[in-house]
Amino acid sequence: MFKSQRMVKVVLAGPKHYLKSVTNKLYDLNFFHIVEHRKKDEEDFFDIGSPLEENENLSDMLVKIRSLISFLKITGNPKKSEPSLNEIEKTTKTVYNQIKSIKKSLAYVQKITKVHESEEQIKSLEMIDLELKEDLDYGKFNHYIGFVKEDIEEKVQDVTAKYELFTNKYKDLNLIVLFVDKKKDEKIIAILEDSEFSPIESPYVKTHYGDLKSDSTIKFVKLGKELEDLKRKEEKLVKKTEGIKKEYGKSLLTAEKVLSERVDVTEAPLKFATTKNTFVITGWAPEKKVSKLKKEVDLVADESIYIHTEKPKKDDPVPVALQNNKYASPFEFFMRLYTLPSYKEIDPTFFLALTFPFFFGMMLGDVGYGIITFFLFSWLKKKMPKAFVLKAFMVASISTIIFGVIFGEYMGLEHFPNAMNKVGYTVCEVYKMCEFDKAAGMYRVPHLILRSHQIEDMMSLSLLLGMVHIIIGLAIGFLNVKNAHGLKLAIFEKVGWLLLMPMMVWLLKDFLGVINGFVGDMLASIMPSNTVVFALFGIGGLLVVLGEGIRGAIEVLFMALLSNILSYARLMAVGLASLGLAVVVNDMAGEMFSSGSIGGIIGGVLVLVLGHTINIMLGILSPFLHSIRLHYVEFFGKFYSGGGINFNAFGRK
Amino acid sequence: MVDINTGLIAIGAALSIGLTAIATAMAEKGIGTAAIGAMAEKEELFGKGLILTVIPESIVIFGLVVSILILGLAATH
Repeated sequence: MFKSQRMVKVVLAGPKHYLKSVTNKLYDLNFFHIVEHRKKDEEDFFDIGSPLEENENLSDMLVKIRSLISFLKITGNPKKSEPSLNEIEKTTKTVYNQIKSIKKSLAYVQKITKVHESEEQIKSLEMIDLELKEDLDYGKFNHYIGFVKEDIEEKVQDVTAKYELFTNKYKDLNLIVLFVDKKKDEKIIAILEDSEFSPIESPYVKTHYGDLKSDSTIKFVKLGKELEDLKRKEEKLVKKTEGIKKEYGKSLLTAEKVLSERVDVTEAPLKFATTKNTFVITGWAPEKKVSKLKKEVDLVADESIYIHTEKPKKDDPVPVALQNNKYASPFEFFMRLYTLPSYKEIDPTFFLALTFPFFFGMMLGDVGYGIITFFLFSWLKKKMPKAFVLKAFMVASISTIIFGVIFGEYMGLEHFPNAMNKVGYTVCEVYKMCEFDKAAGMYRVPHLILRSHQIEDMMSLSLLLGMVHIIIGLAIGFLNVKNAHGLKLAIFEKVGWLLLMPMMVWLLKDFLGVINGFVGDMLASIMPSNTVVFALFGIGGLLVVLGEGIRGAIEVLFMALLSNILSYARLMAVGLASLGLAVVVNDMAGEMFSSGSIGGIIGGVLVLVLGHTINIMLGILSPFLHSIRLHYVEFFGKFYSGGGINFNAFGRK
Repeated sequence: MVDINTGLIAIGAALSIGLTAIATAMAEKGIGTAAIGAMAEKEELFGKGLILTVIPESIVIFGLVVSILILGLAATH
């Protein structure tokens, strides 16, 4: 619990034809941290490995699938089932080809639409010279005017000789005017459809058919119908895409997941060291699982792999895998947010899991807010099942409720109104748990400490908690230094600081007078005489200077420990601010309610809801930040060095 | 009517918390800007940036402690 998982360095070496099976096995085992092989210089005996041979095909497919997913805007979770690579290849091919053709048509349609929408089509028509031959007789001929994708002359020629075709290239679009034998209409329409014919309706041509012989240009082109047609065409294409998305969306997501896993495996050899015929894999595995690793690898590689294991040496960059019980593991998030403990260090997650909710609750400390935040976080947890840190916040909410009971605060209310004192009577008078507050004219809610009135007690308590917290930190630091550098330095550095502590108590209690009240009395009863305190300070200071050098001397001189302890006054201050805001909201709403008018009641409700919402948001953010800061700066500062490398197991995430 | 000495004590307490609050704001301004700059480069730094930004909050808390001490003077005065 207080140490990260013990690791063992593992080196696997063997002939290359086992590379694939060993890589696959390691991936399945999912507890091997690969250390990347780096070529030191050109003369390095080992080369960097190359990906397994199917890699190229797989990554090619993966790129296609990812482009499809982003084009179709597919979201959601993949299916649980695992399709085979063949299936994936088949689906990818079909979907890719369909989408490709749809995309092509869509681009063309959109281009044409743009031309139709602008004045350009008239311009483009004006550029065609229409000079019909005499024998084109209206009634026997049909005419088509519009844009086509490609040249159609040859195809028309195959169908009939009785035609007249005028074409004009306009901005790489083909504009055609085609007069053609009416009898062959069906075939001509098929040809036109094939080449994505987009017609321009021109009533002028229809009515002035006879005049065309002499007129060289087509004028008065009417806009409208052709645009509608195009829009319909576009909609059809979009609908088709939607259909494909519905049919293949989930399969594509699943395929993406499966393939990216496969690509991970096939690319793993890039991290291995290889020679012409052999490979060497270096990495770390948890000590407990090493025997399993040996057994399984021997099984797939017919015992022809040489497996070497060794305990980590002093300066090895050992990866860190935290291991905590069910209660503390959500708090690992905060360790990652800061920096992981190094391999040798004590993992402080468990302490953080105890004190973080405690401080959070002490600052927010309100039954109502605690219940609301608890439900808020459980709802969020349901929405985001992978965000384990929310569990830590749920614990903090429970702690808030408990502190709310201790402080007697319910959504900022600390009093029972006098007029409804039935409840107040039974609780306060019969059990004598609370007293009548003459100033407020109300009965106080049962409580242990009253934050709004016992400010000095709260401050003393906060500072006392701070001292306890720092002492725990120093104790952990003692163990850390002892493990890393021996007992002597541990005593110099950490016990030195501990000996300074009585002096800090004396300063805070007798000199500054910040600590007083019942906490002061408590501390007074265990404090040694002043001579002893000063003597301890002298010895402690000396030890610190011996242990930490100049830096230690400066820290002792500038009372770093005192400012660390005073920093815990925020436990009182932040809580007081949150309580103050809640009381203001309640008072404002109370005045509005007592006015009795409907407007007053509505306004009161609004003020209550809005005010408490804002206060709860602040009440989550501010205690969280301050609580975590007390850990990062004051607590960790006493023992933590961090900088651990994350244990990144090769395998399914 | 409160005598002038008590009034001066109150002003002292107010100065203590007011000036430290301004100091905190100035310090947090610098850190906050830098944190947002860092976040624009690398979004994962949000958590660290947020925590670093509240580090100078200690200044105003010391101010509060001192102002409570000064108010304690007023009570004994």
